This record gives sequence, C-alpha cells and structure tokens, in this order.
Amino acid sequence: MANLFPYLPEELVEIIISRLPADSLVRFKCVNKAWYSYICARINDPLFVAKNLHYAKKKPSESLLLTRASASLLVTRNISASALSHIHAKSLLTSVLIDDDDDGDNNDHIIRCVTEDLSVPLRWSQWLVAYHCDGIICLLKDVYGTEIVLCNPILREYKRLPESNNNAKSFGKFRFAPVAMGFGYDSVASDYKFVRVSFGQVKAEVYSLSTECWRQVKMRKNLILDSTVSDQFYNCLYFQGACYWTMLDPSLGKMIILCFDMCEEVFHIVPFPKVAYYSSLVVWNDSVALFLSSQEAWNSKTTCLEMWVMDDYFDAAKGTAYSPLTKRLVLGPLVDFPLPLRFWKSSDELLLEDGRDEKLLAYNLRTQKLRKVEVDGEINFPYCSYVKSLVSVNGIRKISTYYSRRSKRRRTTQLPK
Amino acid sequence: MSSSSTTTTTTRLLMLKASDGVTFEVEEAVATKLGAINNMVEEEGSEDLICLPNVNGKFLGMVLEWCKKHANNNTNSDKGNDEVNKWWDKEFVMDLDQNTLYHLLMAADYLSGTELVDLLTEKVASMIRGKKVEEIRETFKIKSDFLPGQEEEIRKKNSWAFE
Repeated sequence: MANLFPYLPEELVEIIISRLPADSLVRFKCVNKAWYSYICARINDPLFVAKNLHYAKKKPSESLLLTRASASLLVTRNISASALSHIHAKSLLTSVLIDDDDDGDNNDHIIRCVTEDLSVPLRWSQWLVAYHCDGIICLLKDVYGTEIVLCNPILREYKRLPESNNNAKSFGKFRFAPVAMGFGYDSVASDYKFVRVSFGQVKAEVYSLSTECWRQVKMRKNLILDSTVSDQFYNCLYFQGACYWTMLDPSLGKMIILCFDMCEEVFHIVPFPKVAYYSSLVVWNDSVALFLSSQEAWNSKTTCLEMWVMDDYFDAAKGTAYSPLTKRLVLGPLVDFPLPLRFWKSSDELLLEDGRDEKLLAYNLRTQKLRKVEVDGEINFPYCSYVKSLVSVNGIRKISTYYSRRSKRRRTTQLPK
Repeated sequence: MSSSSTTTTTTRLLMLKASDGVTFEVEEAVATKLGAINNMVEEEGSEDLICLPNVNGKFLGMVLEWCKKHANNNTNSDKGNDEVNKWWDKEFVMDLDQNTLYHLLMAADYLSGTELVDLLTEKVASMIRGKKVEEIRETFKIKSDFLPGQEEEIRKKNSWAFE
C-alpha cells in the first residue's frame, strides 16, 4: 500500500491519520488514489476505527448534540407527546462545538460556539427522540419506539431496526409508551445495543447490532415503573457501559434512578436521596451524578441545586443492591431556576438551560461565573455529547476491546445495608 | 546544571553519542524518559556512553531539550505542572517546519519517547485536520491522479443516497 508520507514509517503515519476527525478522513478520500485506498482500508479496519474513536473522545473540546430551528420558528419545550407534534419541520440536528480557551477567567460574558448541522436520513418531522453513542445517532419516529433508525452521519450510513414481535403484540388497541429507552455500548461483547422497557407488565427487550435481532431481558417481577412523572421523560444518560433514567417507582412511592448494565443486561435501582422538584442526570468526574432542586425552591425567585454522586456501582449478583448517593455540591443560589444539562470541559463548567428563555448558560464551578452560550436559533434537546466516528451501523465489524477502555466498570462487592 | 542541588542523591550522568559524533551529557533521570535509553541502561547497566547511530545531533539535541523540560517540571510537585508542560509543549512545536517535524518525530519514535511521539503526531494531525482536499494537496505537494469523473464519483458516495 502506498505510503501517504514517504518520509515516515508506516506506524507513525497510522498514528497521525487515526488522530484526524472522522469527517476529515472521509473527505480526504478525494486527495488522490493513494489516499483513497489508504483511507478506505482503514475505515474497514476495526482496530483503526477504535483508535480513531479513542482519540476523538480524548480531545479537550466537546461537541453537544442538539436540535436547532431558525429563529423565526417556534419550538415548544414541553416534551409531551402532543406538544412534540408542534415542533416545526425545519429544525436541524446540530453539533455544537463549545470553543472556549479562556478558562472563564476573563470578563467575557458570552461563550461563542461553532455549529455544524448534521445530515441525518430523517427530517425533523419524522423523528421525536434522539440518543447517541460513539458517533452513532439513534433516532426514534415516535415515543412508542415503533420505528428506530441508527445512523452515522459521517459515514452516511443508516439502518432501520426491525420491529420486535413483543412490541407489536403488546400494542393492541391502546398504546402505552415505553417507560425507558436508551442506546449504548457493551464493551465486553463489542456490541451496540438499544434497550426498551415497556410500560405496565414490566418487560425489557434489547436489540443488538451484532446479532441484528431483539431479545427479551429479565426484570424483577414486581417492578412497576412510571417515567411520565420525570422531568427527563425519554432522556437517557449513557455512560461507560450503562444507561440511566430517572423515574417513579410507585411501589416505593419514590423517585428512583433506573440503571441498565449494557454488558450484563441487568437492571439496578437507586432511590433518590430526598424528595425533589426537579432532577437531572449528568456525568461528573467520571461518575454519574444527580442534580436535585427542592420543592420550596420553585416558589422563590432563586434556587439552589444539590449534586449527589454515585460513587460505587452495583453488586451485579444482587439485583437490588446499591450504594447510596453522596452529596457533593450545592450550587447557587441561582436566579430564575436554570436546569442543569451536563458538565463539559473536565467537570468545571456546567451547562444549564435558562429557565426563562431556554437559552444555554455555562456555570463555572471554580470561578462561580455564569455566562451565556451563544447558539444561533432556537435550540432544544437532546443536549447529549456528540463525537464524530467511523463506527459502522451496517455489518459487524468487531471492535477490539484493546482500546475500548478503561470502561470496564468498577464493581464493588459491597452488600446493601 | 548545579541549580538543582536540593536532591541528596547524586545523579548519574550519561553520555549520548549521535550518528554525526556529537555527544550530549545528560542526567540519567532525564535520558531515561526515553524508553530506548531506559532499556539500554537497565540491560547494560554500567555503560556510560551510549551510541545512537540512527539519530543525528541536531534532532537528538531537540529531543533531549524536551526531556529536560519535562523532567524539571515534574520535580516540583505543583498542581500547575500539567499546565506548564502543556504550555511548554505548545511553544516547542509551534514553529517547526515540516522537514524538522518529520525528522524529530522519527528520532522520538526511534528513542521510544512515547509522550513526545504523541505530541508530534498530534502536531502533524493538526496541520491536516479540517482542511479542504485542495489544501491537503497543496500542503503535501500531492497531485490528483484520478481519471476524469472518478473524484466526482467518490464525492457522490460521501453523500446520502437520497440527497
């Protein structure tokens, strides 16, 4: 194979090329024949794809996936099934690179971003929910999850998932939306999975990209869950091999965090530490954290946000085992009830949605400064992180576990108290 | 340099000899940041003169300069060290021309200076990423050898079938 840099040995060339963003690589196929064949070969090499993803994730800058409508269009914020239909067809799925070098130390009150509209195979009017993992975007046509499309906008690949038998049967006359859905990576099997937990008689099913079929997953018999009360209805936090949701467990009469382990395919439950008016899940310093604000806060003009961290993961052998959350931070008082979305930039900077005008804000934990994040147009969920990758949604190119972490999750054998 | 006199253990000095005969006297702690030299020291032990026939003096000097900076920065156990190293790395690669960069990269690779290889490959990557195809051809003096129509076809394949 022709060498792209005649002066450099092959291994070094590969390191350099694997450090390039996936979209640059796809574009560079057009440089000449040598580049074309070199890049095509690399895109089909699972180890290279894994390396490229590894470097893309290591980058200090982070992209946020959100939907954006031109300013003239009205986008409703309320994520209920009926409200969603009002969202205008001209919205775009956009990756926003928050580019900010100054560490929040200067006096700028605005953070500017670079936006890039992603090309996905469905128009906005054709999908309602979006998830993301390793460059694969998972789009759902409706809240029932009847039509699910996986796509990698960089590779221009998409795949429509087959309907599961179970899903079709359980509909009947009345449809119940699933209580939880999510998309993530199983680092043990090197597989991407979509998980759906149905409402009522709690059943869960998993679609695996490598086997290309649906499979039932066991849940605790007596478990009844209700996610409609959650502020994060249909939001799913995927982090290091597990999906997390917040919802109500009527049997406990309590809000809980439901966690699905992508590798073991088991569910875990962690009760909220206290009653909260608003909650949201984020990743903080390599741990999952829960933001809570209390009922009283709603009545006053200012609010304090508490952040509770999951330090330990679960004992896989015991379905119900958990380690309680610990309180780590209290933010505020903040004016006008901003809603925490996610941390960005090594856990110093918290992105928030302004409670009044739904604009993005960034709160620096160190300097305690609140700044505006300027994005053109009306923006909306999913606000998850986005990374450009060469991970294919077609065919099973097994990615070696060599590079794919670290993500072997920490497990404790700690027993429940 | 005698300024680091606070350390009580006497630091051993190594002589490194480049391909063009230029020699460098370096503290062992600095030189062993390079995997290849670390191996030689561990294997051969007593040897104080190390010959490096694949690296010439100019680039060996640059690699050692980088090692020294990082070794010095790491001795003060400040939290700001990472920041200092990052800032210094940025300066180090800022004005390198393509030719120097390649030679330095090969020297770093030969000497198994993993961190330096990371830094330099990242630098080369930063010269490429985000560029247009035409700019890549210009930067690396490459001519397109596609037949008429072929390039167009590849571009088409890179867009959605229904676009």
